[in-house]
Amino acid sequence: MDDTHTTRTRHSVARRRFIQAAGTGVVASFAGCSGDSDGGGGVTTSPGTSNGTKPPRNKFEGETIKIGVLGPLPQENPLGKSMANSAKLAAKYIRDQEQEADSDFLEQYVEGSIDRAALAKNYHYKYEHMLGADIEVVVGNTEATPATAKQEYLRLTSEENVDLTVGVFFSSVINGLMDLIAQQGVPHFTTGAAAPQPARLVSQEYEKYKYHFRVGPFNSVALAKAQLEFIDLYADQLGWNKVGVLVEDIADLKPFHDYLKGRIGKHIDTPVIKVTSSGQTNWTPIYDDLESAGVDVALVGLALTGQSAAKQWADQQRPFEFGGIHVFSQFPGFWEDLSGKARYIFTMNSVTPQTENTQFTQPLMKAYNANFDSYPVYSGPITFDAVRLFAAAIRETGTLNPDRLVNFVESRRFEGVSTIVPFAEFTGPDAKYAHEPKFTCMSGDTCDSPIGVPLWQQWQKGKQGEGVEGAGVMECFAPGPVKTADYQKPHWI
Amino acid sequence: MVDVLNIALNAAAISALYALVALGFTLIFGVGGVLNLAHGALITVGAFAAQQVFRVLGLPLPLAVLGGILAAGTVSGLLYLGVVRFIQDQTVKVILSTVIIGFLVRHAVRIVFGTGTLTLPQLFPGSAGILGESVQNNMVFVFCSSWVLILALFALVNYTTLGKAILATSMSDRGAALVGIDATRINTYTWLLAGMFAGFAGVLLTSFRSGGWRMGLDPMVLSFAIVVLGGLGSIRGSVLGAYIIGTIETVTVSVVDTRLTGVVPLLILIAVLVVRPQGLFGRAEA
Repeated sequence: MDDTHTTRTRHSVARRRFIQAAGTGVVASFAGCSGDSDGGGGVTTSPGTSNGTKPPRNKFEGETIKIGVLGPLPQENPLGKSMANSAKLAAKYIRDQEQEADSDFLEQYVEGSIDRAALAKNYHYKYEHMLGADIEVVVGNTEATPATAKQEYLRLTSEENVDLTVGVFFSSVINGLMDLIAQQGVPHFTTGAAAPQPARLVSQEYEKYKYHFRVGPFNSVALAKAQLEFIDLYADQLGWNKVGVLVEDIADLKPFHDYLKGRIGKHIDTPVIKVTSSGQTNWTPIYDDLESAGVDVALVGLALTGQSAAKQWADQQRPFEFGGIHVFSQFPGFWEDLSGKARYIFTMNSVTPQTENTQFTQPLMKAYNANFDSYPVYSGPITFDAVRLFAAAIRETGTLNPDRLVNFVESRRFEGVSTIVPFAEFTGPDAKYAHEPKFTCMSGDTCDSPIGVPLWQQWQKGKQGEGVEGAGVMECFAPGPVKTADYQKPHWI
Repeated sequence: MVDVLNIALNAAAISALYALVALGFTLIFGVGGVLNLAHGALITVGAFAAQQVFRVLGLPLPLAVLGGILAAGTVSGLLYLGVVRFIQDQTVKVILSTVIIGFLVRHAVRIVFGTGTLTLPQLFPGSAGILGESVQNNMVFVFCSSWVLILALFALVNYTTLGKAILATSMSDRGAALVGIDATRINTYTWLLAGMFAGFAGVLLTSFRSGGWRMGLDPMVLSFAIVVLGGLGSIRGSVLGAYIIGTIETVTVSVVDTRLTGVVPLLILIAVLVVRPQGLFGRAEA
């Protein structure tokens, strides 16, 4: 009880101080604020964080560690922009941490109160530095195509000599990059694509493909499991007895469809399961089928065609609810893009501008907004986490050797680093899907160690006082711990 | 169970929209013998212009529709006067130029307006009951406006002086000139008119389903399939082609496999090119 209270107090102080700083456009410290007075807090890894010799504080002083970001159209597309901006934000944050650490040292030195042993420990845990190195972010534009992504990946790794690549949204792009990642031997943290194939490759040919990790989101097989878990937990509450499944015919969603197809009928009556064209523009005949089958909800997996599907569902006021994995609904600008037609659409997501997955989520959202005058898509916070995770690995190991970093990252649990999940931990080389974020279950009602995500978000009309009156907000209605509002049924049902 | 009436109503509505999409394309080919591969870009211009009028200027929706029609007509007219007029007898150059201009327009729209979703409200929200089936008022409007415009175009071409001049120019520029018809002026009118059709189609597409900077590409392919099926340059052939493709596509999506959307026009295009290259109403080359 006391521990919980102390933790909450510490976190709320951290939040307040971060938000104050973020409001001035400065990326403030997570770790410095949240760390307790003896230097604990910040990012910790286990096992083995508190024991053992630490690398010298200034080991990489004068060096620059380069992070390459690979995003689709990072100048204009919300997915790519969120990745690039968040990596830059993380770099700024790490640079600020370095300066804070230096100031702290100087202050204590001037005061004559310096305790070198304590200070060394403090520096290690309290601040998210990279052992004195500067950090630089280089952005590559994949243009959402495998061919361009390969060119850009080679530019980043061969010409820019980056130490890490992060990003990649489309499955076809990451699948196409896997051999190059193996060839170049530079660690890559995927922060957008949900394809399970890279993780299978790591599992099957570990030595070759071990440089690939997915920091998030969960792969599409795990997302399908979460979809079924959601049905088991919430279908009765939401009054759903019959569902229709519509999944778009693209590589990113095929594992999701294949997993659901043979299983969802055992969880709920599913009279319609359709694969829809990635060029679908006229949804009327498809919705007619769902309507005549009497489904209560259309559970969708839609990426490219999600806008027209959503608009036509809302315009036609179909007598069934609508949501599932709806990629466009995960964009904070979707309400405005669809002129309010996004209302009532629900989707799985990792994080929204409204949610508080961890103590770091809202501070990041506010800092992002203060710096870029918008909110990120989930690929942003995941990229932010990926850069900080890499910094933690460098800080802990004191090496830039890719093999040693890979070994470290795959063997540790990182706490205090994620804006999405309570901790970052990857599946090992022997797992069926290797170097993936560990997925157990979404909610404590279905397993002992719930991960809390994916969360279930619904577009709702904002209340007065929450930003622009009448604008849409991405409320989370499940699971319980991250819930921000109740689910709303469409007013025409 | 297959609901035949429902499928028929859906097919009629979507075919009417397809006919509008293809009319401008076939008009230009029929008169000038020009394949305007920037047609999809004109659809995009119409949609974005209407959206700007409605969302940015805050004017009523009917004025936005008018704005979209006029903007696409203007761009189309300028395209003819600024580029096509000088090369219209050189087929390859026209095709290349209009393809390039189409891409330029698309990317200009992307740069200026971004890659976000484009939406317009339904022109006529709500639904009506037809023979016991619920049909969207918007689609009823699309169907009716499509036929009004098709009939108006027939009337224009067949019963007005301008229409006769258009027909004369389509047969022979020189012959038309001999009877005092200024072919450039007539071609300009034709491009303006075709652009206005494209603009209206862009507005309807956006109102029906949503759009974006790449929205012109599929309608372009669709137009091509429709006019090849109907017979290049034949207006009644294009209307019939639109209804054949719209119906087959609706039946395919409803009864066979939803994944075949978009594939149907391409399959028909290939089949027609192989079996009957002149299309339904075109004349076979000697």
